[in-house]
Amino acid sequence: MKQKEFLQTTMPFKDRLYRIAKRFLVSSDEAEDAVQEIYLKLWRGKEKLKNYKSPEAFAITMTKNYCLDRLKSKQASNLKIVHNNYENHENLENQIEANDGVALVFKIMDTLPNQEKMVLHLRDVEQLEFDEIAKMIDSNPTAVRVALSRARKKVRDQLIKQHNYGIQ
Amino acid sequence: MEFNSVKALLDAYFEGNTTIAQEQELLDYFNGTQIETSLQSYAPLFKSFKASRAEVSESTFEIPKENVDNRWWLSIAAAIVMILGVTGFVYNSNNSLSAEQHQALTALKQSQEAMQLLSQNLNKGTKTLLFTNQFEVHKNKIFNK
Repeated sequence: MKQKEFLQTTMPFKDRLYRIAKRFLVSSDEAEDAVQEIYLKLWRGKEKLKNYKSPEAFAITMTKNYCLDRLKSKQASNLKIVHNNYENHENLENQIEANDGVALVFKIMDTLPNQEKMVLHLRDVEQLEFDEIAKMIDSNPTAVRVALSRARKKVRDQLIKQHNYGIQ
Repeated sequence: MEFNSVKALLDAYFEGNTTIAQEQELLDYFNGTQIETSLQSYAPLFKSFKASRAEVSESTFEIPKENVDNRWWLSIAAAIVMILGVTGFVYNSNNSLSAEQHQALTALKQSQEAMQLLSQNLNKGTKTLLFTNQFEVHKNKIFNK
């Protein structure tokens, strides 16, 4: 696979990988690092990439696994995952936080189990079909639907709880 | 969108029974300006999805320079050099012995010829010796009768 072909195949889903990485790692710097790392891995394994029906699905699975590994090694070295990204970044997130509870939703999502987090993100942010998601997380469409419903309800319950608390 | 249809979509949404198109409808509704006050608490959820979708990676990926792959011919060149070296050595070593060997071979031939000559003459001698038997034969004729 030549450079041009590689870039044509992999670049269209770069933002998607970034968003997934960010969902798990929270910090946008770390998400960018993760994306670089994933692309380096994809480039090194570019010959194998041709064998996959969907290089994108393969890359997404890879990103998820990479992020989970990163989180694990962080916990092992007793480093806390930095959540101050929401507060520190002067751009988009800060503005959003000012006018509604979007940042709160991000925080709630961060508390979900990894699988539910992944399913919720792939469906509601990336708008993927159940069978596509199932392939990425090595599951089946029914299980994906169940996990999705559970994740959505969890976020809703937390959100309503916080909302009511804010009113009182 | 009507309150009731939004409510129905929301219920289906939380059960995981909505299509992507329906979910897009919900997202558009909650990112709009006219949201029913009783549904207001769901708005942040769909606003956060919209905000997430807008996020893009700002770094660029540079393909690392390859210098390892270009040297495949080096190994072939090395192999050729080695084969040439080995065959050259074997060929050479066969020829270099000849200078000394030639001398040895001629010496061998000469000595073989000399031996041949000697044995030929010796055979001549032994042939003449055969006649000495005649003494014995005639002696027996005379005395043993």
